[in-house]
Amino acid sequence: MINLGQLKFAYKRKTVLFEQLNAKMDSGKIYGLLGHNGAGKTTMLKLIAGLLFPKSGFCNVLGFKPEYRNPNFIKDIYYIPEEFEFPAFSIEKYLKIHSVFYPDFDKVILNEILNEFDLSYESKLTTLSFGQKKKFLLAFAIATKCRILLMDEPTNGLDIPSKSKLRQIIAKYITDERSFIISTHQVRDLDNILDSVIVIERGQVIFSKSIEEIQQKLVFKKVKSLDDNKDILYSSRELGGFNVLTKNIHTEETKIDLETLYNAINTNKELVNNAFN
Amino acid sequence: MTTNKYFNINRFGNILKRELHSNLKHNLLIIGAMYSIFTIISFLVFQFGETPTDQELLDGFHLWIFGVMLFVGGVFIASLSFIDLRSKMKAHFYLLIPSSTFEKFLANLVITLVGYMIFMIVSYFIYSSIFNWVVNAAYGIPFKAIDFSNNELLIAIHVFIFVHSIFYLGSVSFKKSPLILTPIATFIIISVLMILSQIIKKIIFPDINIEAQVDAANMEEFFNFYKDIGKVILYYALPPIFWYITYLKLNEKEY
Repeated sequence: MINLGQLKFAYKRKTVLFEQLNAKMDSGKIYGLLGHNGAGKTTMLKLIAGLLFPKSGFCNVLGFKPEYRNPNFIKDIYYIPEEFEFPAFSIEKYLKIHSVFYPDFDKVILNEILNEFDLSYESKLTTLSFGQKKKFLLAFAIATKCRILLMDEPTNGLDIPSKSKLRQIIAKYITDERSFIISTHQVRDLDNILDSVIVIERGQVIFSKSIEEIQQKLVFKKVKSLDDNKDILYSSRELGGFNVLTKNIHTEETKIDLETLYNAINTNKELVNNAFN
Repeated sequence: MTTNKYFNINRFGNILKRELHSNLKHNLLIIGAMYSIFTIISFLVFQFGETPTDQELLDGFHLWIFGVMLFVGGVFIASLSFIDLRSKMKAHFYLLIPSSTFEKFLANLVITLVGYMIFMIVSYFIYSSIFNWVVNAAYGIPFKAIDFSNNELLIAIHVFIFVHSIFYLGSVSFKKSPLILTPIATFIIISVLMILSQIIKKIIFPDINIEAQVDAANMEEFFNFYKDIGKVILYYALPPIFWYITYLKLNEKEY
């Protein structure tokens, strides 16, 4: 579905951001794209959407070269940016003008999500709060039935109940034909919904594993004290003990703590990656 | 279903509708402002100035005013084309509308050039009829009705298409203030071209003085010949070239 190989990218007058970026993503999955600010998450999403053009290497999305912005490709991809501005239309007018570009646009799905988020058709887009605008855009994007949905920091600006609803909606509308790619640095917001985790650092994919693989190879625990366990890959102190990440030697099944995983990768990526060998 | 990647009539209709809705407010504001300013100035002049009696002025008044409005409004509206691309918060939406670059280019061209000219012709015809009736009744000034088949007006429309193509290109070339930067850039480019042509002339024909070698009759023929070539270039060659560059620039837009 998405195949990036040896991809080189640099913003004008700036140093190279991606020297040799490689990534592969399949359909039917929800990908979490994690990384520090400035790691290149947004740039990667924009390259996939065809909003930025690579300097070299290849970028193949749904069999298209995104930079050509073929309308047959664009109708199958939707990018929800971190910040955006709507025209001064009502929701109804916006839908009338924009939904026609998407042949499979599903009004039933849109209504379901709008109801879920308590948004009405009469609302004027410019009078909505930032969080409400984001909810509307998410509803619109899912209703387009696009095959790839790119979300850049979708939980920014959302209150706690809305974050939970967002997770439910994302989990509900993923199908075998489509992929959701969610870029965030607020890893806790994506708990329980991801199928795969991709971590980027300084323009390189430093970790890319499915949740299944992570569960098979790693154990996330909370312990009161750190003993001489040589399998500990990472530990962090928290109230009343430690969060510990160890190799899964005894085929235990534990709940993945994304934050601990992310911190462990940032602390020593080789050590974490070696646990998968 | 896969559709033609360059042009599809349904997609074109959709993008045309979208562009019309998005730009309608500011386009109407510009046209409304022009009519309002002209009306206020005219009535102030008729009220406090001398009554015009010159027949040439009475006959050609609306032709001149229409010409000025066509150019001023047209330049503003052409510069506002692709306005979403100038906003960091909106550019991604525009670039990712499922429509080809050619359709986006053509939709804006149809609205800001063809649509604008038709709108101006119809609206000015109605406006000038009402204006003439009111002015005649209030001040007794008999302005002649506008004749859109006038040859000078047709020349003005040709020149307008050329000017529009420059500002249309400017609208995708400059991220900020294309209305100001386009004429500045045009002036610089023309100046550089003139200087270069003089330098080339001096290098290739250092000893030839054209003015001294051609007599007055031949000179007129010489200038008429180049005037005709100039017209063809200006009316028919340059606008499509500028449109093509606009299309290429639109294709290269990143966000």
